[in-house]
Amino acid sequence: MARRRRVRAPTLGRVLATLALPLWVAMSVAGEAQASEVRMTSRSIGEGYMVRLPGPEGQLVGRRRLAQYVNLGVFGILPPKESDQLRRDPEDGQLQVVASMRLRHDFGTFTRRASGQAADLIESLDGRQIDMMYGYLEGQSIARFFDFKLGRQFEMSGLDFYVFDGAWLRARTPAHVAVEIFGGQQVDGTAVFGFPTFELDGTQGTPADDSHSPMVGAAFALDAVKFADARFAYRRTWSPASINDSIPDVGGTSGVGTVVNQEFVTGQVALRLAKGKLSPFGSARYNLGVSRLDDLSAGVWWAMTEKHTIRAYYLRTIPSFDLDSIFNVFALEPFEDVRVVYQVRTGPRWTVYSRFQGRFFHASPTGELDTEPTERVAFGGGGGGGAELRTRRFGMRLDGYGLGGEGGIRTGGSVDTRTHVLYDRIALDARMYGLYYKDDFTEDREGYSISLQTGTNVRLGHGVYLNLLAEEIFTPYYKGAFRAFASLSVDGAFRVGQR
Amino acid sequence: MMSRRAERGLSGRHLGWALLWCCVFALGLYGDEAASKLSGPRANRAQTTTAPMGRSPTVVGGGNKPRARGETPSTAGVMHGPRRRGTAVYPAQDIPIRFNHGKHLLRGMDCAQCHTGIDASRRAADNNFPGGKVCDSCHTAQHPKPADVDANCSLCHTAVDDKNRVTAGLRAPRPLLVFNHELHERAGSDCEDCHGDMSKVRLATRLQLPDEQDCLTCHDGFGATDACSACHPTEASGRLQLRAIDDRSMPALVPRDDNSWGAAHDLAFVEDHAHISKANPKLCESCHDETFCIDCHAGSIRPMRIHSGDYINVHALDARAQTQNCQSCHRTQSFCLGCHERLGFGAEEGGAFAVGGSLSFHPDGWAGPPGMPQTHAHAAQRNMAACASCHTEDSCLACHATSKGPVAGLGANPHGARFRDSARCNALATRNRRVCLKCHAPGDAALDCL
Repeated sequence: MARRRRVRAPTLGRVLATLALPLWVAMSVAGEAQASEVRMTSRSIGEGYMVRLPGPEGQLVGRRRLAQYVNLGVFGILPPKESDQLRRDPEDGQLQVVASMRLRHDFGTFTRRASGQAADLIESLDGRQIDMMYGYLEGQSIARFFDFKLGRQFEMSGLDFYVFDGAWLRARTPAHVAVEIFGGQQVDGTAVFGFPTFELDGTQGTPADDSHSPMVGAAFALDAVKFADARFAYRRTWSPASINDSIPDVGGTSGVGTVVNQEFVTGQVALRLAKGKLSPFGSARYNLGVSRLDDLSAGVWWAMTEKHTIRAYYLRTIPSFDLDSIFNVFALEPFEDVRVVYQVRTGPRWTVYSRFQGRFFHASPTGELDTEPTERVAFGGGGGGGAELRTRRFGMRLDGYGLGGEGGIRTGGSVDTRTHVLYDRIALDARMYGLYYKDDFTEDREGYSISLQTGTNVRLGHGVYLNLLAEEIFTPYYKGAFRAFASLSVDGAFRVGQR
Repeated sequence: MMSRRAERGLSGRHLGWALLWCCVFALGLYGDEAASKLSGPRANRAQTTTAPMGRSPTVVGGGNKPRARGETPSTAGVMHGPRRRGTAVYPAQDIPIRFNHGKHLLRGMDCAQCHTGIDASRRAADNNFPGGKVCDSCHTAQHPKPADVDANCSLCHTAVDDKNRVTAGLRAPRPLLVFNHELHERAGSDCEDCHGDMSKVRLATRLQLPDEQDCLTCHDGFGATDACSACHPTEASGRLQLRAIDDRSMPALVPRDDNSWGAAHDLAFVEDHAHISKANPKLCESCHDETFCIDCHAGSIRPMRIHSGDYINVHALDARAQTQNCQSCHRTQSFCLGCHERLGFGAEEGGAFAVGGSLSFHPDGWAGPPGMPQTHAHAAQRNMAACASCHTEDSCLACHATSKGPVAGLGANPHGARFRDSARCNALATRNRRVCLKCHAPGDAALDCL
């Protein structure tokens, strides 16, 4: 079967239409906008270096990347409710529009084309140069109880890390419970403007890649409760046959069948006890698609005194994938983590900390092959520590760590400093990183590296910053490895309308 | 040998780099005072002002000791100020007063006539509301009320009971802000520069107080300092205080009392923040917007301490141990796979990364026909994400698909024990039968679980 490119090239018209819609809606609702604040930010980030590939071939490949962001925000769209107010009372409701777009290109080189199932898809991803990171109209406290977002939204919660085009609505009740519903189309490879972090779903390389996937969800959350935050949510993403009837299925039949791609239930709780000195927190996600608890974490943050704090938590995770992927079938065992961080502010300028991390991997006999694992539980972990100094114009951070067990040995240390000079308009950075590693599987994967970095962050004008960073790496394998990084950031704001 | 070893010995370039680095480091470590001198009087002028005769200089932000503003660079990217409007710093007020600024100004009154202490006010916490006696200077004396004068509380007070007693007083919690009226007045600011045109205002509330954008009009880093600590209270270390105010938009987990012990990030926070943010994303949203998250999680900004130095040679170890969750920033089936595929790792027979090569990711006995050692099965059980960074489903189907499946395999059953008819089998088959059909042919008896 001939493979098709999964991603359609965006047109200028679609770009403009996507941007214009939330703005048009906002302005229509707002009527005569007064004193709206418009904020625009652009950032251009470039980096370049050469990499010598490990191995006896030692080929050199170039890495040159450019990313440009344009962010737009229009805040305070609704005018004050009373004529004598300088600005609108937040309780009276407010609208804002925020958007972020990214243009990126990788000018790097590779040694070959991709092969097999991945080839077409990976190459089509290279052609995706415009990302719509987010862009939505947001209403806060509309009619004093209702919040909403309309447009492309980025969600990071116990449910997952995902982006969708659609609507999110929340109604707050007097009973300190907020009810949320949300829905739209999940952003994946079919979106006109992509989001760079969508995970491929296991249908890659087949026409099913073009399936549209609606998403719906609902949640209950505590609202305005001083000592607790809690949220319980449900989300389902599926590919219905009714809207994908023109896509041929694997067997050549017309129309792919309805399948569920993701279905989760989550709960998350965070408490504030003892006037904020004790903060237990936890979250759990049950993956209905594979019928198991695939993410669980619980911990506590305790400020024992004003200077001493300790944070400890446990997490249990089973890697999970889109239900279209067979990878779920193989991921059977969780890994469990125990982490502890202890921090002391030894003085007004110095803070020191230590950290322990232990991870336990489990294995079980395979079903049909009846192969016994060499060890039922494998350990990987270690610890580290560091200190931070902050004075009037100088900041320094020292870190050291060592990890062993599963994966091998990794140990290292670092020094990061920043010094402000010339009216605080120039920051000078000096960093040094040292690293030693030894693979537990592959004897030849052993080495060390020391990298020295110097850089500067220059304020060129009102909201205009230039960041330059150069690095030289010393290893037994390279004569030298020079790397350069630059970013230019322009941030500006102005008001529209009269106050 | 991992790769061609470089010639040993320090070159001039190495020494040059080391010298440059040491200079920058030494400037910071030993030259804080020198850096202050390099920063010159202009920066100081932005933060302090010329002291009148006999008075010590006033530092904007309160207190008379210089504030720590040093910061350690956490990423290569630039972090400078919020990209959204900040959360309001003014707590909710309750002003049970009837008042009309416009009418008073129309009579030619000056602001300081009522706000009598404003010229000398140096702290945002100062109570600059006019007291009742100030009103008495024009209105009938009521504070205290002479015996021969009738009470007229309801002229100004809105909370008055049937017995003409005031039942509620003014409540204006101190804002989470550093502000010095005296300094601003001496710098030439007028009241309306920050508070707007009061001639149209009846009762002034916190909505007449300036927001961040108003402040940044003058505090642009040139005319006046734009350091965060100029307006926002900081601890001695320079870290912004996170004590929240009585604001509904702030998450409950941020302490609202006198201490903020539990709210500040510790130094290892970046390594562990994922599950804290899952438990309470509202806490994160109170200070950070999406851009802050996406900067790293969408791959353009690389935190230097996370991927330090020669990380490209070490990342394989971290991927196997899942020390950091690679998937939180990188997609295994596009970012990882794309690079591995196109650099030929594992593809070339006889290459260093191929099976049996000196740098092969898989040791002997990793996989083979049924009856051979199957070490890979246990690695996949516990960390499938690492497999997916190099392999597509084709690799698995070659052996695990049934012999009559769409891709004919060896029929090696990967399901754990008691999978058939289990809740997990039913959950998957009910929701997505398409994935079953990747290994099983239609009509396969194994599909009869439903």
